[in-house]
Amino acid sequence: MTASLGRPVAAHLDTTTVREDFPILRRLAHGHRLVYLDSAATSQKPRQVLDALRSYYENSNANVHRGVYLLAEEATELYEAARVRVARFIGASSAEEVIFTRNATEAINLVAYTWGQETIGSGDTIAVSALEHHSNFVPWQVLAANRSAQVDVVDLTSEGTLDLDCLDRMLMEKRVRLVAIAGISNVMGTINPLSDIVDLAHGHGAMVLVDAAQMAPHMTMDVRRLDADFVAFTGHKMLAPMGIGVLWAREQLLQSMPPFLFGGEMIRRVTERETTWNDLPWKFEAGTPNVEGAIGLASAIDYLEQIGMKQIRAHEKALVAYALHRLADIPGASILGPRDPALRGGVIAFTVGDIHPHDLASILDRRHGVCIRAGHHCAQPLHERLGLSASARASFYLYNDFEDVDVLCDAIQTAKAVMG
Amino acid sequence: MLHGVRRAPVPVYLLETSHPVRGGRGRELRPGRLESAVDDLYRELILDAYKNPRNRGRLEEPDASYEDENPLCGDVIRMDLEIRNGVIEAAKFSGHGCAISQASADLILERVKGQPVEVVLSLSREDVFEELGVESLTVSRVKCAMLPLKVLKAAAYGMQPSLKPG
Ligand SMILES: Cc1ncc(COP(=O)(O)O)c(C=O)c1O
Repeated sequence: MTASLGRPVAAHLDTTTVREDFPILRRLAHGHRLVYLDSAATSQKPRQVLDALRSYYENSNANVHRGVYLLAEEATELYEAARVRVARFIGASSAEEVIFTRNATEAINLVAYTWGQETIGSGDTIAVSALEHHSNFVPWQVLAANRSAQVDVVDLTSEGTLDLDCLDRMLMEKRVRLVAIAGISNVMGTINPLSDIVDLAHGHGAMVLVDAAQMAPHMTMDVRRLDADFVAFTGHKMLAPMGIGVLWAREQLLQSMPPFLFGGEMIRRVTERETTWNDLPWKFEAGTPNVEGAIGLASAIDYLEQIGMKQIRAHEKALVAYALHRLADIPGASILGPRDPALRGGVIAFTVGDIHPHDLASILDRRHGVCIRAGHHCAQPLHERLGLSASARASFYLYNDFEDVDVLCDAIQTAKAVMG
Repeated sequence: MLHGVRRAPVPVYLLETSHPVRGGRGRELRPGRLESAVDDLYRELILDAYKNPRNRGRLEEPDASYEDENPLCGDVIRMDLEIRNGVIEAAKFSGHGCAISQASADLILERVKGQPVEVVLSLSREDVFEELGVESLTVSRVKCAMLPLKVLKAAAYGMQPSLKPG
């Protein structure tokens, strides 16, 4: 059944060794080898990250920035070392530019509630792309409504890439203050031409926020070279635990922004009459932070860099090229987004005839142990544009191999037979 | 009165775990606990109702109709009812969605046609499961299965303002 004859071998990284690091991949699903193709929703975690979490709680757990005893010092050091690790990973100028949040969504909301509330005024425009995840769409919609501003949506080309002419026109005709754009679409997989977008936006005096939730886990990202103003991403999609995310912005910009949440940790001095704010980055980190999450993220970054971000990107590109090729052979299968693997990350959304994506996902799971996502993937405006109420989505990461693609295609054939 | 802390079942279904995982009330969660319940989902009954629905369509002049959607997956169901002397004389559903929601709509209408409206109001989740021929469904698929009954009830409540909830 499987077209093993034409199956490529992984050339960029050793998936057999990588897979051994992910304990969950040893379990079965409905009696089948687990084929996890939903890393765009959340990634699995390697043993190394799980060990780091365990070691933290077994050896160093204490609240941070508060105690003067050994454990508190150790916990604080681990937490701040994690920040340095993240800063190095993304090429930030200093660790002060790295704000820990709960996730990408909170990082984006932080910008909307602080910079946005101060900057966006009546008649201003916030430009978002038609590809955006709800978390880089709804905060701007709400902010615009509060400030009598408007959100304008940048169109897509028929290929599923961003229409830069449309953005250019928008920047020319409207008072655009912010362009909020995903690095990689979580539906179409489109890799957006960020440097062109940043140049265009800055040329017209607009700031740029990059939602890097799907980019940071999958390719090298250098925030200084990127030259955007805000970058947000989320740990759980890059081998770290859930509940830790990052906002990056230049120190000067962060200094000029008011705090986000208020309480402990973010203060310098509190009197009964007034309070002054703590230094960066703690000004934006009210309350006890997710120390375990930060440590897990640092450990995840160690793991990713040990494998190599370039290798991971090359591996996913090869997987996507193979999957696009195999899916094209399935009658009725239709792929959303660009056809060129160089233009897309490790995400493929598709439909199969008129089989509802939920039925497809259920049958893939039950009959073959294949985990894919079905629905609108938190991108309802995009699905509306495409005239779809839902789609199926397979997404890849470093632990997926070419056999996973074959199983996916066999499973789609099963679903067609069941529903046909 | 408190009878000790109630613990939610531990949602872990590890197959290669060395220690058994204990769920609520000390029940051991064995691998495959979720799996047996869903094996038979895409069987004849559901697929037949999905592929050859008997009650799909719209009524020309319904006495009651209602439409709702499942915001999570975009499934949409509309129900049209024709009611005479408190009895459902004709009923049709329309909309789009997965096999579970569409089959559920068809089977539930098959059950209530010719019945007094009150019957609709007394139907439960178990009745829907019974019509679908399943013992249970996973959390996400229960929503698909229950949407048609939710819409049908709303249509029926619309006919009987005194029965409106709240
Ligand atoms: C493109 C994109 N942006 C933002 C998010 C939100 O991530 P989180 O839920 O971790 O905040 C996701 C993940 O679902 C995503 O794919």
